[in-house]
Amino acid sequence: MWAKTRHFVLRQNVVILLLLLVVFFSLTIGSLFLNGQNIHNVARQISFDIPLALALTIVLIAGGIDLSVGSVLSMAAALTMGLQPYGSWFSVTVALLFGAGVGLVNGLLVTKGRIVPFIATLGTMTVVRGIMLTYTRQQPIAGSDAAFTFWGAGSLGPIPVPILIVLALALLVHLLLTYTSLGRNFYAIGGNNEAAFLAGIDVLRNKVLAFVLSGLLAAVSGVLIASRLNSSTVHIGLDSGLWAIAAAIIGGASLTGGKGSALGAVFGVITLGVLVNGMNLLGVHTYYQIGIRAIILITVVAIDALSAMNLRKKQMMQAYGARE
Amino acid sequence: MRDTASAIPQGELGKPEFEKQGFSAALLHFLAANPALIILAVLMVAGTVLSPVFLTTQNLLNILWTVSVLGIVALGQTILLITGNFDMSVAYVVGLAGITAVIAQLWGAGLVASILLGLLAGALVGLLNGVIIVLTKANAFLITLGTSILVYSLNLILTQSKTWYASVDSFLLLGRGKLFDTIHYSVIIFLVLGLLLQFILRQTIFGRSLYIIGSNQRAGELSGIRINRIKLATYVFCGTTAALAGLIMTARTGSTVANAGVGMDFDSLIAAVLGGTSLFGGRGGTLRTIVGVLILGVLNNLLVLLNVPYEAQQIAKGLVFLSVVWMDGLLQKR
Amino acid sequence: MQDTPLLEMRSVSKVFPGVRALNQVSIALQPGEVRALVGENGAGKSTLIKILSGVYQPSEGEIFLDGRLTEMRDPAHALKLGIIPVHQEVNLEPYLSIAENIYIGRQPRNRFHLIDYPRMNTDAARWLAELGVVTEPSLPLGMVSIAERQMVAIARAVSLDARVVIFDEPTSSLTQRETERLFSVVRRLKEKNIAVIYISHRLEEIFRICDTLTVMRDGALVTTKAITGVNTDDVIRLMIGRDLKDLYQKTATPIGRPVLAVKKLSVQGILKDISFILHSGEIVGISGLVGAGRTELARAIFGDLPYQVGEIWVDGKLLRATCPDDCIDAGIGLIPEDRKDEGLVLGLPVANNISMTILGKLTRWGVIRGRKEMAVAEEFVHRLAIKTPSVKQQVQYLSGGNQQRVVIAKWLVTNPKVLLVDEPTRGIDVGAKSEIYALLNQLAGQGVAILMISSELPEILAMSDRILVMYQGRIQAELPGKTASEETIMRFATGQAA
Repeated sequence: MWAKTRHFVLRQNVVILLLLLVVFFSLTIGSLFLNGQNIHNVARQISFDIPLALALTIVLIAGGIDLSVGSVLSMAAALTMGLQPYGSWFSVTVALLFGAGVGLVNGLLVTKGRIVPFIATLGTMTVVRGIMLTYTRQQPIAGSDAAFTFWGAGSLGPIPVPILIVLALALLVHLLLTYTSLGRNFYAIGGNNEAAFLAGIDVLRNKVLAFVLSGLLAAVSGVLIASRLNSSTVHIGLDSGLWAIAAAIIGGASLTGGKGSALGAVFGVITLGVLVNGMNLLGVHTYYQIGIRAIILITVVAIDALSAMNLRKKQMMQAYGARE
Repeated sequence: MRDTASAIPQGELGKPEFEKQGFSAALLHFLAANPALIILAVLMVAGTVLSPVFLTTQNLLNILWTVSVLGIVALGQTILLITGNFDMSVAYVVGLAGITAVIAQLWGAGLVASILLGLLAGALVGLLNGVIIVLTKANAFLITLGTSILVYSLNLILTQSKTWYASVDSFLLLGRGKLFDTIHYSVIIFLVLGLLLQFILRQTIFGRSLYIIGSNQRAGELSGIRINRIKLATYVFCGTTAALAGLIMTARTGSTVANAGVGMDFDSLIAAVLGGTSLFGGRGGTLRTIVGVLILGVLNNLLVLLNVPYEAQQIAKGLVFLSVVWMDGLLQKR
Repeated sequence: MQDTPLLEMRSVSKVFPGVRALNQVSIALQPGEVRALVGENGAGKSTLIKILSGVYQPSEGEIFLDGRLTEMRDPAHALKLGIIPVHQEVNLEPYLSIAENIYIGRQPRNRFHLIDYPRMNTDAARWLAELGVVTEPSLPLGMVSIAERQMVAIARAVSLDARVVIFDEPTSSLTQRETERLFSVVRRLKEKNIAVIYISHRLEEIFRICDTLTVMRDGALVTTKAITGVNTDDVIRLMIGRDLKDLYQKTATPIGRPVLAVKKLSVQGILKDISFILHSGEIVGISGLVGAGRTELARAIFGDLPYQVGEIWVDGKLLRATCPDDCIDAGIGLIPEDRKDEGLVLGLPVANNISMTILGKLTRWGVIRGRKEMAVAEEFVHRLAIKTPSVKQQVQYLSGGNQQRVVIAKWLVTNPKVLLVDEPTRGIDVGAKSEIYALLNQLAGQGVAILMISSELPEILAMSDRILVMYQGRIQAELPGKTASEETIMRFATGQAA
């Protein structure tokens, strides 16, 4: 296990990036940054982003992309609050089913409808957002079950409850991706669709499952946010999807498919979370923060493309027997 | 499977399959080539039936005037789509151009200077998009979404979230002026630009190169087409047309805000795709986009006349987009 | 031999829109039989394999396994029935480990029902060792050579519970030693009463390990014979339907001044120290294994692959090219290996495809002169006898041979001095092939210098004035076209001779 961890640290630039950020903010902000309360805040904040990054990691590994996660998140939050009068467990179940359902639709559009993933999910993103606006009539919905806030806003000692939930979730996704054939099939499909098909893998079914998992995880995020705020508004989830793509790619996933890990996704979210927290503490104005986020997204996507190009070159040279 | 599709051998010389299959297939072919016109006709009939004011010159001119801003954006988007690329940053570029022009006017710039500065702002964003995409070969969709947010933050910084007013009166003519007191200049700009671009697409070396890049970039490159230059040019062009649309929009109301033009990224895609331009590149044209824009305009007009709430319109838009893309995919595979 | 064949295809046909790729093919395989399947490119071999392995469904005909009517619904189903194709190395997973590629879709589990990586790696190492491959099984597949990837594909097939194993050109990237390992694998499969279908371009391999031979041509079965009753010339005659001499007729053309000079060209990791001169009127053949750097050499000359070291001179002028456009201006043309992906824009008309390379000359103020474009296209359609109802017909509706002529036409309009030709007859039926050869000959006669890359040794031998044999990115040998033989070429191409 230790050897594996070390391998991960050495191979993933995300860890180095995170360390650099922590050192930088510690030096510039000092104790305001490195204290228990702030770490608690960051942990709580990132716990709502981790399920989304896991969702995107799964879909990216399988060679797709899911732009609809933000909309799914906000609708799941709205359902969690809106149906709470019928019982919290009921509302959560419906919210999760809704997420999985949207994932199923995405999967079918991509496989049966043969629409490229980002176009298909752009469409469902719009539709789901429209459904959410219709359902909420553009009004915030307040919660009615105070006990329910425990899952998003509660703490066990110094540790926020939601971070425990999402870390458990990350562990599950890790096991799924690494130690089950479903997970390995995702890698195979994203790495070389044709090869996976010829090797007897049911490509279409596995792709649909990847999207279903993605929708489900996005809904989890929505449920947790609703629990945290004890309400839902139309503003949540607007740019979460893009942010989650950035986190997943920073964590080692790639738009070219076949790569990524649950651990990487968690680190990607922590890195971006620390960055946002640091900018807030430094008093960077919101307008500039939006710009910085945009630059991060562009940089991440560009670097991903460049490294994919490099990798192809390297693999070609390997194939040719690395002649000097 | 991609391989399976490419492995399908082509017929011995001769005609496309559908021409051998009689009337129903021929009809299908015609519908496949021009479904947009049929949709438009159906909507016009529906409008006439549903509302007495629909088929009045005033209402029709009004529709044209309403859609011309989005239309100009969609024309630029179409040029990019033909090469198989996208620009999701057009929405906030629409805002940026107006903001640039209005602020330039406050600083004393005249009519022409402020318009040129507005266009320049759009061209620069297009250049940024093009350079990143050409150099890194990254996913155009995500990169332009990124620059879109970047431009939005720029808009916020420039306007400080306040409304800004144009101070050169002649500027307002661009949005409100009418030729012979009947047709708005913006409508004329939209239609003339569409016709001009159609000519460029069909009759010039530049236009031909766009179709070649969109259909088979590699073959084009190996035949001596300078792919990168042309891609850069199309992004700059798309940014500039979005800026032109933004200037017209600002001139209409005389004022602008940071998120002016929001939603036009998706709407311009829908308009182009509705008209029959493929998201996969290589097929389409600006005349088709004009039809697509008109469909959107008539549809919106109908929904307003019928008092359909805004939220439901959103759902409808998404569903329309998905079904058109789905049909486009079917045609592609046929 | 037994009465009930292990696998039998009865009158199987496959029809694609407009074309019959497989026509009434019947084949019966006995257990332990090693069957050679030969035929030129486009003869229908790969369609047949795809039907057997469940990728395609037959349009007509039936398949019997152990005498029972069977349908291969998809690749997964065919694998379950024990029909195991060995795919080319491109059909593997580059990011997954070697072991995972071998056990894809059937990883060993531990008692928690999770994937047991240690066991998978040990088992994979054992299968690889049997093939004489010493590589760490946990390495990503993308990090090993093409030959090793091919061995991984073979290891996977052998490790599966096979009834029929299909090898599709398994040796196209293998050296002699690796090929010998493969042969011993085939013999062991035979001992285990597994039937083998062996597809190869290299006839001498077929004579060494196969029992029976099936020849295909233009989608139909020509004959099935015992290997002992035939010799190489018979097989070639059966494959092309006539004598080789009728197909390849190299007319002697006077060889002129040097036109293309390549000096010490190197591309890091791909090409090493390539030097040669090409004269006008000359056809120089480039031979070598897959991965020897043949296509990359053409790409480097054509400005499509940047090189660090070396010079290219065209007609006495140093070529300073950054993209293909510069090379076209200098008088070079490239007929690429993959017609559909790199040569043509299938959705555009014939005329637009032909004019692609000279658009700049057909325009006035950027506007294309439509009539002139049509006239040029008509002229070349006529000159190359391209069969098309009109120059406005989309290229995708033309046959393979006519499509290839459109590619040639699009380069002839540029009036090139040097023509780089990569696999000129791939996927073209036999009749059309000889016409392509005649065309290339005719061009050489007009003084064009031609560099012809080909995997088909008879083609190289018959067409070339000189032959350059490449091995691992170098030119291993230069042989005169008249005296070279398949055997000498293969000795250099597999690195046994230097």
